[in-house]
Amino acid sequence: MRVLRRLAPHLVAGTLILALAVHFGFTLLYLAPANAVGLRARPIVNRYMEPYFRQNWSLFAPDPLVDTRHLLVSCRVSDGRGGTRDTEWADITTPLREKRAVYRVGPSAPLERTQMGPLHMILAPGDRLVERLARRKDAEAQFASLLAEYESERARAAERGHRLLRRVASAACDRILGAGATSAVAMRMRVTESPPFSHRSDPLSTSASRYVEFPWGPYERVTLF
Amino acid sequence: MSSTDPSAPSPRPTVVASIAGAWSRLLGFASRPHFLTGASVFRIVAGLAFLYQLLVVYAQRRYLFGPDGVYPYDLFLDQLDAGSFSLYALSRSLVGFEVLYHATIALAVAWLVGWRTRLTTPLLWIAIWSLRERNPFLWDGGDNVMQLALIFACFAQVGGRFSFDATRRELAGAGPMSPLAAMAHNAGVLACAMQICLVYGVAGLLKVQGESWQNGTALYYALRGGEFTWPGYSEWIFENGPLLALLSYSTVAFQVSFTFLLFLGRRLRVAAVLAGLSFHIGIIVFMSLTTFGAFMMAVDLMFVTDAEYAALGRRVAGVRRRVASLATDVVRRVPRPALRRIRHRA
Repeated sequence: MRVLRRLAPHLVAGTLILALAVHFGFTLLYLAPANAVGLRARPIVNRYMEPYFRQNWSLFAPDPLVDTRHLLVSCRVSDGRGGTRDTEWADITTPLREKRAVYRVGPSAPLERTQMGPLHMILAPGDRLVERLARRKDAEAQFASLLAEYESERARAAERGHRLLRRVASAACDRILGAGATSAVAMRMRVTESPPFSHRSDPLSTSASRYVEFPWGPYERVTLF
Repeated sequence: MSSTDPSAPSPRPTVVASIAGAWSRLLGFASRPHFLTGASVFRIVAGLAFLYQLLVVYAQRRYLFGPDGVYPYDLFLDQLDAGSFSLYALSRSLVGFEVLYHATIALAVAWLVGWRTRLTTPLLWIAIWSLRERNPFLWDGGDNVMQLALIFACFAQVGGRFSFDATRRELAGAGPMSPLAAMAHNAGVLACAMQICLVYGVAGLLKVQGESWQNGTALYYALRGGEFTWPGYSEWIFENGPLLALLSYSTVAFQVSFTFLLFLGRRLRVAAVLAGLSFHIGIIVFMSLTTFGAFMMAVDLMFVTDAEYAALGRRVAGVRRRVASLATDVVRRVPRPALRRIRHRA
């Protein structure tokens, strides 16, 4: 007992130092770009780090976004004569941004994230390493199953993104037209490139916009409040 | 290595002895708690940010997290990682959701005021993790930092100062922290420091590779893009070319150098903390990344020593005394009749 009490500080200090070294060793490997050591250890490192120590620090890096995105929604409603009609495109992002410009604290920021998050999911750039593999001549034979799995995972993620967008749109239609009036929803994204730095004084409205269309899909009931 | 002279000291015992000496000095240092005040300031700032985060969407909580909210329940269950968990997966009912959400608010309050932090810190981590998993689209780097820092904070003593725990210990006449508890506390604080160094280091090194950070225009694009612009105010910064370049470059310089500043000397450490605070105040004010800035500041504020906080406290008390005595002086110099008139009017 006495021996144990004398040894305790040594044991505890040693264990803590070892734990810190191992944990942050794994964290370093997890955060490092693909390299010789990292690639081989990747499965073990991921198993240790995910989900609880998952992290990503590409905060505005390597470059911040150079465009402004707005989400527009159209609702398909009954025309009263047994047919349907589609409402005009309504911009649902601008009201949140206008509120945020006045009230710097408030729920606008998280509400906006429910709109932008699914967009990032649908438009996510591909994994650079996998796409380099895909470009190789022998890719077909060697990595076929890996690439197929990668493609189907990307497709599934995009499908989830579309579903989430439909729910955002359904909620927006209910806010505009009252609950349950809508049978289908569509969304489009307006992308406005920021003027280049040399034209930084130009207002955003002078920049060209392009639209990305998302298909019509069924309305889903979402709690508004 | 061998010597014929028996009186000459052999070098081997000296190496062993110096290692043993260093180890025992390290043990001595680690057996006393360090950065106790910092850990409590971390708790208060992060606790306020958690509370803000939960209350600011209080009216929208069912839309954001509820069973029929924008993130559908079936997708939530389907996407829950193998090995992960969320208390919101236990029940699909609205009552269950409301109970959990309000319990999270109550926990955040308890943690903020330092009530049983040894218990509330891990509980808060569980509650916040559960909420994160319930709608994974709402979070940013600040939430990511806190989710890790809360794990490390379970080892640390975050209720050492300005807390119900501290008052209770004082009333009970509790002695200083046991050496083993102090070691765990120090390791927790050190883990937060290492983690935040990785955050800044990786963020800085990734930026170095970006063209717009290299030519000093990155901040223009960050402030111009939709989510982070503040109409009427962002222009103050991005229309001023030299200021913009200075801020862009100093952002990268600060992030890349943070680790070295933090560990290579007292003055440099204080400079790193001050730079971090002003950097994040700027982010809060201009980009309205409120909780991100607050969470990062909470961790930065951990790395001010107890002696430095005590000195700061004395200085603040001194200023307060001077202001108070100045005020009494002013009141004394007001002529009696005038004073009577003021009283009369009141």
